[in-house]
Amino acid sequence: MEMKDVVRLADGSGGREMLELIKSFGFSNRGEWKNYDNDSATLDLGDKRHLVFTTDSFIVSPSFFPGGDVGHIAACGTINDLSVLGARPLGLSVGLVIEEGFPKDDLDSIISSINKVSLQTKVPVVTGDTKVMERGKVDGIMINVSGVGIADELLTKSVKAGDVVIVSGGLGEHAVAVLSKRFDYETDIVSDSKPLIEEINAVRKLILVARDITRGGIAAVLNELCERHGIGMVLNEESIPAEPQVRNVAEMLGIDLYELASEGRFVCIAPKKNATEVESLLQQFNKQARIIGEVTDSKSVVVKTIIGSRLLPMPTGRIVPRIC
Amino acid sequence: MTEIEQHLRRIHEAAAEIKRSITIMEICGGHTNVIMKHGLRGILPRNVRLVSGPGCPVCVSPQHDLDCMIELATSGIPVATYGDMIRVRGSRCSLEDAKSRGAAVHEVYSAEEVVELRKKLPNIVFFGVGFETTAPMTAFLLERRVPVYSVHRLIPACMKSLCNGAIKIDGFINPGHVSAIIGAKAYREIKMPQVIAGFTAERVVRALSSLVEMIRDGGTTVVNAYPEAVQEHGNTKAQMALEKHFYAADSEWRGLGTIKSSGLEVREEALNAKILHGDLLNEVQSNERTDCRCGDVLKGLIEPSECRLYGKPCTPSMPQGACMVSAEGSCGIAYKYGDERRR
Amino acid sequence: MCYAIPARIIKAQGDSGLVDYGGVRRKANLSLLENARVGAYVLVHAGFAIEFIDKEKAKESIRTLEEGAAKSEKSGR
Repeated sequence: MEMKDVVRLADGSGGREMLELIKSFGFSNRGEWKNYDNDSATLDLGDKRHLVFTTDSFIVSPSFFPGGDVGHIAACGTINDLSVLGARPLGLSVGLVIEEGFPKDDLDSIISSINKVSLQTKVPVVTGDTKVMERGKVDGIMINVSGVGIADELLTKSVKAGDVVIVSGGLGEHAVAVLSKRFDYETDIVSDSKPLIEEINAVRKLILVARDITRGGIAAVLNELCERHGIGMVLNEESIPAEPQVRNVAEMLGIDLYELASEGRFVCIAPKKNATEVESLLQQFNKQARIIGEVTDSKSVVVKTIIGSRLLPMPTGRIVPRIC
Repeated sequence: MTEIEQHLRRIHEAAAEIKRSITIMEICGGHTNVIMKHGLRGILPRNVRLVSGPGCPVCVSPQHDLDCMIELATSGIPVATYGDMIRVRGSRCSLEDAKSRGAAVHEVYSAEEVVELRKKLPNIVFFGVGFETTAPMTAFLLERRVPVYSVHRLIPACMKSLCNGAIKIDGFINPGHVSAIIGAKAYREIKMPQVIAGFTAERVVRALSSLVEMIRDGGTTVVNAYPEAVQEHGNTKAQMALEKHFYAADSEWRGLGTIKSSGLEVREEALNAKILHGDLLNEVQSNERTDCRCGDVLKGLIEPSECRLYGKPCTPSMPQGACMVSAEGSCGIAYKYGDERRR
Repeated sequence: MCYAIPARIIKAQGDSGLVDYGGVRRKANLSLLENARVGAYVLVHAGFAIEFIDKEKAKESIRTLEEGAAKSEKSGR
């Protein structure tokens, strides 16, 4: 069998290969729905309001990690996908595929996490599905969370050169927490997984677009934004916020900080006149919220370093820690 | 003025006095990464050309050896290696591809994990990739009687060969961590300006300023700009472990050909996977792409963008040669960070 | 060559060590070094400590290069 005939791990990593795989599916007959970066879809309800529909599947190994579990990130992830488009989440569905032999206590903890998020955000879980697979046919538990919401005004305004790029907090904390078991290290870093409803509401009127940072890190989300809006960006490397321990783990594993996943962080673009206010408002939720750069006409993301500058392209491949 | 700015100024001043064009080679992929990541090439004087050398062990490991490891894995013999090597394509596929089709391929971060794996997989073979920094960890495994397929390579031997190579090199930036193991002494017989450097932007710029000034002054010595980690004699305990388990053999470097005494071969036949599994491996056929110019890139003859395959079809998602697959390969780095001089 | 980062040994028992890189704790194999003790700074590569880091020299290396540059200037070319 040729290499091209099997699905590879890279195809699900959130980078370029995944985008290409999804394009190849060819789901083009969307009727009146509009699709945003294959993450969410919107339907114009005719009175300026939009219905927003999103879905996400989570298989995280290990299921439990410092600061959270797969249930927590699954619920937050979908709620956040709705929030970043400006939608008020209305309801969630939870689909579970569980491996035979999965401990009941673990399942209870995970469900309890989903419930906790649901109560905290007042977004009910209204439907779902549960399947059990034979031992070995699925790795522990796979959770799909889909969600619908209504946006009075979609957060999809147009952006232009001179607009400012802001990040809501320190990068890479989720990745560092999850990788700790696999690479056998300990830190004080816990997953940053959380619902972003309040933060986005706080700045919604001041910003043009928002996207949550997930797999592929800030490198993925900023390149996606540039592709979607036909813009470029220049980032100031010294402004990029990250905890020292996150930076140290990235260096230890030879992984690019910019490609580390978060789960409770987003980037937004705001007009220059609002930028400082957005930064201050977000700092009330996370001290590390920061203006990190600005929009340009260049079509690529460039990082200005202490010496010169370089490109920050879309991540490719699976994150393979390097030692050599 | 910051320290970096001071050193940059010194580089520019010394380069102006040199007048002619000079070529400095950074051997090590780690240095290439720091240089490209900070856009350093774009702000050097026009007559100072930095070229990347063959210091990417993944890039220089012969394709045939990778094909052999894939053959072992697909024949049911469990293999383990570092993450760097997993995605490199051999003649037909990569170890990762083989894994996705069910082969027993194990990615490890540390050689210690192989000792653990062996408890469940007693016939596991370790693919020893890397230079002198990494070979001592393989020696650790050989000490514990784990069979090894070695493609370890030696930096000073390669540097000697590059001195007589296709391009004129005026000075080297020597790899900091290889040097921690082999010591500054290992380079002294190479009569060329050299500076051993660490891996931060500051350390690299500092080393460069020292090197450009040495070239200006006509010096041909080895300056240790990383004395906090590199001693004259290096890590003798690690060197002894290497001596115990390996001997230096004439070895092939992918894209460069065979270099005298430039690789480490496992001494004990019973632990040398090339011999242990010889019957299986003798059947392995390899075919290299002839239009791939990784070899010329590795020698510093051409820039990645001068290879006809670069960007189309050779990209990090569909690498055609090792230089693109490895995160420390010149092509992978150039594609990722962009070459400042070309923008 | 190769990613190796400086860390402080916080536990050492025979060849098994625990190191700390600015808050990140991981085990490291100390068998490539003689007398690797708690408190020492080491370079760690792929889970093995490969060399001691001399903190004094870290400061000195800057001074040496400065002096070297000064010498070159004085000697003329």
